[in-house]
Amino acid sequence: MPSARPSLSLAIAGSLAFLAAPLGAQEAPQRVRPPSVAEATQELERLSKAHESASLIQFGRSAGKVPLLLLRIGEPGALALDERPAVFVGANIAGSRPLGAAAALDLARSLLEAPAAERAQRSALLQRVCFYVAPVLNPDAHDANLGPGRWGRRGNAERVDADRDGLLDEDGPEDLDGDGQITQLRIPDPAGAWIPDPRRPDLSVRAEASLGEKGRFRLETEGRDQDGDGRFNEDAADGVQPDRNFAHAFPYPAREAGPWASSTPEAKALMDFLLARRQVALAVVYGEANVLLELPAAGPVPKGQAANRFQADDRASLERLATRYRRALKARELPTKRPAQAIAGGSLAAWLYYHYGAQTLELDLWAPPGKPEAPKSAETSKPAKLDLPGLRKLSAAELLEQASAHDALLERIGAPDTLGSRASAAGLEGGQLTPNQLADRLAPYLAFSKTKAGKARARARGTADWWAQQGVAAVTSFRPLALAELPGASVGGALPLADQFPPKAQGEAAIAAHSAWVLELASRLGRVEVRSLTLTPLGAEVYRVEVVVGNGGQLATHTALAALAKVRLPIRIELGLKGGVLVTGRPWAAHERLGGSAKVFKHTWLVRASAGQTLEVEVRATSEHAGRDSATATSEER
Amino acid sequence: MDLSATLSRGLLSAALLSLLLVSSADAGEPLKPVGKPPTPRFNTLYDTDAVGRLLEAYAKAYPRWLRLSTIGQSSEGRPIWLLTLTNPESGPELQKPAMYVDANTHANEVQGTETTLYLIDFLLTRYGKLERVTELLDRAVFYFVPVVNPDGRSKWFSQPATPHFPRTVATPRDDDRDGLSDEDGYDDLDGNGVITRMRKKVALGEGRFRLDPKDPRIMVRVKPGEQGDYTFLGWEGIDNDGDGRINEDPLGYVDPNRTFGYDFQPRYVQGGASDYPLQIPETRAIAKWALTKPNLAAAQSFHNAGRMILRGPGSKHVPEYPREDIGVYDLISKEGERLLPGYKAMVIWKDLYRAHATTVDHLYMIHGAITFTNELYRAPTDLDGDGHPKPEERMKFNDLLTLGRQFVPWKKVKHPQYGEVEVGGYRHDVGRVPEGWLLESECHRNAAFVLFHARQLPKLSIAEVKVRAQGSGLWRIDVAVANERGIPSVTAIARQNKLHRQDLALIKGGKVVASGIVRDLDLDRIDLQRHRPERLEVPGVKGLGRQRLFFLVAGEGEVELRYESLKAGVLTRRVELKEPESRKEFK
Repeated sequence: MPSARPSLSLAIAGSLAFLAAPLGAQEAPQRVRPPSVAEATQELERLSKAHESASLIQFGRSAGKVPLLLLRIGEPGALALDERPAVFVGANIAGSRPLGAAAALDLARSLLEAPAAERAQRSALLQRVCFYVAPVLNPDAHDANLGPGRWGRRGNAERVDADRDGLLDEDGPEDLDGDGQITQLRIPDPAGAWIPDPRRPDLSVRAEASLGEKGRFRLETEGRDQDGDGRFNEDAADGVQPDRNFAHAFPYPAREAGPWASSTPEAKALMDFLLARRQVALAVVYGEANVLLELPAAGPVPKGQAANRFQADDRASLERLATRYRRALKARELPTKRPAQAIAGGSLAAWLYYHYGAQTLELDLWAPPGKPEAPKSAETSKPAKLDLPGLRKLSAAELLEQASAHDALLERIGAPDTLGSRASAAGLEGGQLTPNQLADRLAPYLAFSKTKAGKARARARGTADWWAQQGVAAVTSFRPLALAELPGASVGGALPLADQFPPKAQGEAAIAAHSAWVLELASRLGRVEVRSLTLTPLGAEVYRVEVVVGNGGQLATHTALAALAKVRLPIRIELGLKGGVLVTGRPWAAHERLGGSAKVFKHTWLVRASAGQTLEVEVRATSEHAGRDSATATSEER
Repeated sequence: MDLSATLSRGLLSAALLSLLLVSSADAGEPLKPVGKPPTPRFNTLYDTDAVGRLLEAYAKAYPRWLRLSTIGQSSEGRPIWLLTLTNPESGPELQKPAMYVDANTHANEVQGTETTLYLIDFLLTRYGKLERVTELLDRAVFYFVPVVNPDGRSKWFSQPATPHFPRTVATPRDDDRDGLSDEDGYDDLDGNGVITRMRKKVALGEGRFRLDPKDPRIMVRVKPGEQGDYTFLGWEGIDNDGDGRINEDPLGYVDPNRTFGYDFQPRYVQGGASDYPLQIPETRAIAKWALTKPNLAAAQSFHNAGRMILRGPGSKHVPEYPREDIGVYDLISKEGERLLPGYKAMVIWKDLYRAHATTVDHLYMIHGAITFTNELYRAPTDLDGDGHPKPEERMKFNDLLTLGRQFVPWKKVKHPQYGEVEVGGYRHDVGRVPEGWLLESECHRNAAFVLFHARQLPKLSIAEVKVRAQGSGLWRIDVAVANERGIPSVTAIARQNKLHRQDLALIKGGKVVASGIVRDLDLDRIDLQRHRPERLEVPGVKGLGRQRLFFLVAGEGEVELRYESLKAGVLTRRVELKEPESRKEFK
């Protein structure tokens, strides 16, 4: 698929480096356009040149040989960059989430180019925490999803015989109607499962038996059956999906996931980079799932595999974060009650949590609310709400007078206009149709609207209406296609990846909210601190040394899963003595994990001061990913 | 790469080569080595460098038949050797079914390498003399990785080792999670070059052992009601890192046979796992190489010990293999039980232990290759034949059959933590590895088992072509493709999980109106392929079975029938579009 790239007039350095894409439509709203690989690279280079605290690191190449880049950001502080707690933010490993690149670059700029008022605070954070920011983890798919010819490609540039017919990449989506866009294809078929949505004919829904609907067409992504095998677009040039190529719950034998986890260069390079830097305590993936809107379920796992289950303690911590996250979104008038995907098997986020042991948040940044905005003006008077029992009680004449309430009821339950006020007026007037009979016909729609499929229909309609409200043509009507091999076929429907190009105000708010969210989390990372070190004389120059180590941050030092699976080193304390010796035991101790700020652990040693000398005690507490601290005490102080 | 173009090019050259072969006087004759080929003895073990010299010498002596290459490097930079062995004149390598053999995945499980060397030697020196060998090298290709873990093998030979250590690859690992890697391993306290055990006399009541009054070399566990005065202190070693523990972070430990790509589990679930599948260079080299060999149809991975013929699955949490393939596994392993006295055919998770991400599951579940792991050797120390080799029998074997070679007598040494201890016990090459005088027969029997396994590689032929006129230039062609060996051309797992392309039957030179798979010839039940009838996708030919195909072709003169199998090569046949003389052939 050639990626047509909209012309770019200039990149605005130092501010949001994406532009509104001209849509051509009259008064088309400004929309966010995520940066291309080249633009993101340019911005990373600019930032690394402009700021001493940022350096550009290439950690591998994609299957298509595009460099994989990230920015390391941190200011000199008490601990070296590779010894202090770190935050990894990686975007668009999915390929289909280019908006993440815009958010990752925004975060980098928030760290490096904060307004003067925030600079001191940011600098303090950068002296404590190291950031790794990777805006495009799947460059092979990224650019293909920016142009108008996008279709949601997720795979890299490897060549895979996805349909196992011996031919490579021979049947992908095509722009059949020449409108520059890949939408959907309706092929008339009496055995097809699909029909137009009864209320919005430009949307397609599966025929529903309880509504008496009969399938009329099959629905495919726009494109022909190029290899003549009866299937459409089943072997596009889209290789292996790096975001399904990780080992936790690897979706064997799915072709798009690759033959085995880590087979893609993108997945392997990223794992090698992170495994060499175990101090990454928090990982944020801008991807397809939103773990704070769709919390992971603790499903059953086989005996002996408890470390393959999401841990209850980690889930509780996510719940606390989710509350704050929703509040943060709400404050910027962003939708929070929208559907979101859960973390998938084989994904980067699943590996980060289950195998790498980082506190992991996969976030999808933004999606349109599933329903149109309610009119804000108080003047519009709401019509009286009509429900089915109410309808049954009405006389025909009364119902005729409540036409708008009648039609609103249809809208609510997804019933077609053939049961609406206009269509039934004659019948009601002439007495061939009673309100009770009408209610009987509407009843199945009411029942269906409460099912999962019914809710999905309503959400698709609501989303399309929301886009229309914004002045964006996110759904196009179906137009007949003049193609001899597909008689009667038509092309139209929803444009793919509309949510990657949000209206400017919403998109910028979402990106700003997420940058602020990452900064907030980074400032709350767990860090070990020696809370107290006491020497208690027990007589005869023997002392009890007691140390209390706590968590100076608000988040746990690491997850309960990492502790259970032992993928992170425990917190280690070491005793240094001058003028004395250990009476018994070892001069070190380890503690698996510290939860939030309230958690501490204690350790005691028995020490004997050498004759006539002052006992000096030093305790050093170190953690791989939660920093280090130390304290000293002497027998003199007593 | 356009696979079909490659295949047709390959087909062309195969046809040319087979023409050459007919006129060649050497076909089927014993191989004439260049210079003097190596003649190793198979009653001894070879360290990694010696193995390398032998492989180079074989490749030099049989340059066209045996190709030595390198598919990767170990973490310490040693080559991972791959040998390719086939008749270079009987068709392209990728159009022959392939048998893969590897060995020495675990550092200490060494003699699979000698078994592989024996097999290579046997094939090269018996071609043209033994029909069963000649047939295999003509129609199949063998791939060998004689040392999967060259770093480990080198260390087992050259550094103080035990029968069980090292097992790992050399990639360092912080086993005790103190921030340091491999800092507290075994120590050769008595300087005799092997790691044996430590025992200590303690106060009566503090030990769980006492000395055997008849043979004080043997420790006897005390029974309830008795008191012991001896204790075992584990393998020879001290507390190198001062953490109060001994030998708790030795070399490694990544277990290479827990790092493969199917059913990978993290270390918490599967001890010895790497951080992600195929993270270590040794097994990654094999996995990447295997992706380039679509003809891989059978595999053996030699380990030790215990005399077992193992197949997957390694865990009960993954699905059991399809029944049809289990039939193939049983066919081979049950015969193997007869070829290999004392060996038992076993399923890893059910009969042995749970093992995730192993070679056997990887090659079968991802490549569809029928794969075994043979656990070579069990020490024949059960002298009275009661099924329980006892310590005194083991000692008698040592004293009378090896004249005392195996057991290192206890010797007093000073230990920095334990004080005075005794060090002694069986050498590292005892228990898992046969004595030299037992090695050659074990090598031969296992090589013979591999050859039986390889003999089952699919062998296809077009057994029948029947043409019937349907009027107006329309012809019905009935084809039967036969497999005269046990492994199907597409295994059930490959079909079920769509691991690779199925077989293809193609007609060229006529218009194919319809095609299909014949389910029942007599009742004329045919599963028609709705699309692309000229490119009939065939779910393979079962082991020792036939696959019947149906074509309806419009045309005249003759057409070309091609049958292409990734695992079983390419067949072609010119088909004349005319009725046979007698129509009685058809019912």
